[in-house]
Amino acid sequence: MRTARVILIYLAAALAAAVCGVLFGAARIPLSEFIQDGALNPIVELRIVRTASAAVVGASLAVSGLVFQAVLRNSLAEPFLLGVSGGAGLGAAGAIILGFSAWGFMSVPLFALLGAVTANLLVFAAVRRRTAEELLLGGVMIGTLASSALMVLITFSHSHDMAGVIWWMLGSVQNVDPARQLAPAAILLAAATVFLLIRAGDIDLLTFGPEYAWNHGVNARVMTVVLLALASLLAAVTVSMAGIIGFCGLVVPHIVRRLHGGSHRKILIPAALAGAVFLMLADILGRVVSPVRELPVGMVTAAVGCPVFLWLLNRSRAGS
Amino acid sequence: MRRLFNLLLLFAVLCLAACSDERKTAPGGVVSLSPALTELICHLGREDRLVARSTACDWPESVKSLPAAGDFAEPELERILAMKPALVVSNEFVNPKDADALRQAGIAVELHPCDNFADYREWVALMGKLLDCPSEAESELARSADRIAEFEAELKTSEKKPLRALYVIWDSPLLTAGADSLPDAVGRLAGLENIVKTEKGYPSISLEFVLKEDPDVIVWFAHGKDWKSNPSWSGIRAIHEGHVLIPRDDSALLRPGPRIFDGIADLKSDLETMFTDKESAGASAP
Repeated sequence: MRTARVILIYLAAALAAAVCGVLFGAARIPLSEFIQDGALNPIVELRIVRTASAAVVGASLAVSGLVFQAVLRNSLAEPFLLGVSGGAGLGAAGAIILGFSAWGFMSVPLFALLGAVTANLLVFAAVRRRTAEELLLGGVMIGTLASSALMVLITFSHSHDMAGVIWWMLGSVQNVDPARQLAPAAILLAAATVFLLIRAGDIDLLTFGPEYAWNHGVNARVMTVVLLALASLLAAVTVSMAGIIGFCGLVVPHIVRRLHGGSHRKILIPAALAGAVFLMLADILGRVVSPVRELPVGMVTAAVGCPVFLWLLNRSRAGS
Repeated sequence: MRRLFNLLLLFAVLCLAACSDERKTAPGGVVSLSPALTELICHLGREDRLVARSTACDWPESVKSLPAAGDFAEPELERILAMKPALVVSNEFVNPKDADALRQAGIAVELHPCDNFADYREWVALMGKLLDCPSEAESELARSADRIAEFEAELKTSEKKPLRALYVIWDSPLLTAGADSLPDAVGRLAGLENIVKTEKGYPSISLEFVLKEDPDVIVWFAHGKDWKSNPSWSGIRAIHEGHVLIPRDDSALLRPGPRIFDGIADLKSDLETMFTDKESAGASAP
């Protein structure tokens, strides 16, 4: 199938998911009540923001996961490998438990972003040779260290704080500020996508290994660091917006690559759109299944993503 | 021979510890790991029996000078054992293993729920026996019954429709008080109707549900959190209209203790002021 047609299909799916995201939720709102007294119904407004947030977060995670899997040449790679989730979790928990959340709505996301970026920088600073494998190991170590520190913080926290930290770690797109969080994240996603499209050839070469890429004129070490840093930044921004949402960055790139091959120029935009669709649908499911309590979107992605991933794993083993 | 003697001694100690559940007057010091129970002990005039409190016990002011011996779920065992109290009281959240360890050391342990008015009245009666103050307990039982009856009578005679309320325990995630919770019972006596009817306890609810239910007033228990800073809340009518009530002392309303009835009266009066002021402002507007 031609790339343009594939993109059109994914775009149509994303639009359909976005429309469903605005139409369905805890409350039933007839179309006639979408506008009230000349203004948008607040429930519809809320759904528009959260659907757009789910789309941007899902697309960012899928793009990030795609880059990680390509550069690390590991289909199990995911966006949080370089300590992003541990660092962000520690930052957010620190803000909640140490009382910085009282500074205002943006304090927790900013601390989460700070934690994620710091953990990421620590990985790059701690690993001397910065090959993909060593960065991966460094990420696991720093992530483990951050997670342990997070557990220590949780041990000393009060029950409300603990609920806040746990809920944040499960992920939710309910409380996203459109101006201060959604817009910058969308701009970063767009800029990253353009850069990755330009460098798609280099990513393709890196999937064959750093020596192969080097022989074809790519500075493999520099490009590896740049790509992993960009992918981690995308993940860090999503974490600061919506908490730790697993599986989207792991499963979606995997499926898109299986369906449409390994050319990153061809699969980058489909992967981003598929990630957006996946998270929008997961968010709708979380809202509709339990209208009063609402399931955290991270829980839904895990519940859906886990069986899909196991199925893929078994299929690939059977194939090999 | 000595080993046999030691074993017999240990057996005797264990038997004594097993018998300690029997409710009888505790003669020695008391450790209270629940803020509501600490308040009750002081209210019954037995503050002199308290030897330690939980980290959350902060009323009356004088109890702050007592040493803290953990929180209501996690007592500091070594510290409590060193104090050699006769009785430890708390709610049912204490780890059963910790409670067993205290019992084995010969300390009486009373762990019961303390979540609503009925629990409170049971604790009053029990404390009357445990702390040897039956007449004080009797008068507190009578006072609490009278206050509840007063609030109920005012509700029956009131012609006002109950205000639909959202109780915010925490803002992110949005934790609220469900159908069988203490804030639900307290709010009902103050003339409020909880918008959360199907969920019990303290559930985390969706913002969309709040927008759908459109509460008249938000009672803000999220101490230290700013309700104005979250942009997602801007669509809620009660926020637009400034109907967010921060209780004068949220601990008086969230603890089933002796101050709860004054807390309800304050809440009621603050609600009346909030809505009367708005009505009169609306009436005087051109």
